[in-house]
Amino acid sequence: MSEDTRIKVITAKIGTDDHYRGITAVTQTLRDAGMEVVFLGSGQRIDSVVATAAQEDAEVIGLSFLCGGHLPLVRRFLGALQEQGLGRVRVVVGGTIPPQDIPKLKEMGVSGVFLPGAKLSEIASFVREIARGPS
Amino acid sequence: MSVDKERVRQQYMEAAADSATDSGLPLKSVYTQDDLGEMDVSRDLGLPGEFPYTRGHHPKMYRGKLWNIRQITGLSTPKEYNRRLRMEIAEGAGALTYHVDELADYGLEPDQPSAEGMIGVTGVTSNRLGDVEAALEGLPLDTVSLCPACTSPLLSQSILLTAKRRGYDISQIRLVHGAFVMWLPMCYRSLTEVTFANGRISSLGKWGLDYCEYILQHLPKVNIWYFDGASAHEGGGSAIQEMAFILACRNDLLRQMAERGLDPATVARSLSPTVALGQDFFENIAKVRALRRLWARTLAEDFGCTDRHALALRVHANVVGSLCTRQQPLVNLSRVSIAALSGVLAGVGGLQLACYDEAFATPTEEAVKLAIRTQQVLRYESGAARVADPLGGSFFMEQLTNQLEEEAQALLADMEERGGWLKLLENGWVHDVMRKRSWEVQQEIETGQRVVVGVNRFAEPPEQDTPPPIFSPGGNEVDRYFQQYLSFRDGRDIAPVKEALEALGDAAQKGARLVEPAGLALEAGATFAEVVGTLRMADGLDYDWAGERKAPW
Repeated sequence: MSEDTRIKVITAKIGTDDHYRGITAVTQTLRDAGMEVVFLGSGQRIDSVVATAAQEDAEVIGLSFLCGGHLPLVRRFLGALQEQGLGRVRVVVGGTIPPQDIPKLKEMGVSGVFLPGAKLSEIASFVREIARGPS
Repeated sequence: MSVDKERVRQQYMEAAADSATDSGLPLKSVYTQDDLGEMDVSRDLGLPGEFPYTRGHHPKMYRGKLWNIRQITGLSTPKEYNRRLRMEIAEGAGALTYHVDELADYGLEPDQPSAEGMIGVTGVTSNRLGDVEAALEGLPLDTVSLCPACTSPLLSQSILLTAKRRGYDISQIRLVHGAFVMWLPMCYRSLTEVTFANGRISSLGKWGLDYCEYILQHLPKVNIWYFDGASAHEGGGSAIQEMAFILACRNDLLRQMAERGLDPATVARSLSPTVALGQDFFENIAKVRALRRLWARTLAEDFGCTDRHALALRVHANVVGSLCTRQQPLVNLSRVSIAALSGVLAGVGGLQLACYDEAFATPTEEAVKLAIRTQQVLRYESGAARVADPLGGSFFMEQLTNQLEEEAQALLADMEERGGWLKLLENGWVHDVMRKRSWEVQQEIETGQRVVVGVNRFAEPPEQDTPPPIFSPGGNEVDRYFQQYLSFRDGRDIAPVKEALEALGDAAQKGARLVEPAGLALEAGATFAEVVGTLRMADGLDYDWAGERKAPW
């Protein structure tokens, strides 16, 4: 991928959680870092986020969870991505994730987990790195 | 560990860097009489319990009655929850906020895909009247002050029905009803139908307003928590925005109730908003003082209200969860104590503290106990409760109070001119204002301009930063609940449930009052999801929020 191509990212909240403050800040940060970000908002259904990812040819999807439910939701989400042949899309998770769940999410295939207090600039560098692949 | 001499020197010589309050009001390094301008002590301050109530809602303040120690709790199954509530009461909490999980908030059934992993996680799972009865078993419903926190009146009405079944005189029930209808879309963009559908008040919203009317007419000991300043704060709102929202929301609720023939004094007597206690100690205090004064002045001037009980605002304060960091979590105990002290010095009527493990999961029993103990230290050790409005008369405090009042009044006027609270809630203006500010705050943290100890200063490597013990709901307990719930639901006599839900749907179509038919449906054994679905359909919405279930009949 050339340096000029903008990284395409989808950010969304799936499930019933509506704590949007973190994901909107991450969305703004990635935009300011020059990425093309589609923010779908909260209360999104899994299939519609996956459909948008296909449509937009997204490289990275950012999901945020502050109300629990992240384990089954992420499992179903990654399954739906695979089903649509989008296994290459990298998924990053942020929010109030209990420590014991972080390795579980990574085992499922989540590329990175960001917790409260994470620096926005670090999230942006991480997303750039996984979108561009190992340099 | 080596000692960096230059760093020691810098720390020794370091001066306070902040030159503005949390909401951005500029600060001088000292205040004098000259900063108070035209301020008239008897007109603008008076005494506690006297107009304009700047100094407190009651003449004796805490010498008459200490603030309520409130604890917000919601976890696991009704049975396990009941045990936690009993423990909290035994430790000294006299007021409890009953927090449901996301299922009741969104109207989901426990066995649908979207409910997976959500049962009893962010609140106690409560999916029918019987669950509420189990959660409250053995608790004195006329003594302990319960606050149902649920997006619709489902929970509050179930508590009343529980009380009725237990033989209480309903007019003696003590409750602080959470009227989420008035503010939920501010923080829940995915559930605006709690208030609006098709550009007007939804059937769920109408039920919420009908229930407020019902309380005002029948339940003298029930107060209405009609606005959550803590949610405004958590969404990014400044102290000034929070104050203006509290008042703009009140004005629209007064207007809504006036359309139903209730006069402003009757309504305002029962209203109690929550305010946020955040990072800025002095601004927290000044905000509560200014809010009390502006509440009284605007009620008197704009609504012609002269009722003493309506003019004297009683506020409940939450030390907000966002104050708590995931990094070095024990430091949160200090943060929360400082913010809690600001609430006491401001003379709040009730106080609820975030637990130190907020950024990890639902608080553990130990964390809850520490939150209650902190309040007890404030009550009995610190001496902070002895004298009313102890900061009254301080040049700085009075100047900050004046300035916040002035700024909030200007924003309130602007909001009224733009069409008022409900309009601005519906068209997203409120949400946009908060989102803009939350971004600014985040930038301040990112650049280090706003210090968060342990996060952007004095941070430790993550491997040295041990997490506290984490709460997780008992899996077996949840499984047992799940099976019991399904056997109840699938074994019910369905005819009376169907009949009651049809009557509720008809009432919603006709625009009739919904409290009675909703109560009959709950008593007939309708699930919470069925009641929500029936009202959603009355507005032409999908029966199920997640689109996973069809109406069963």
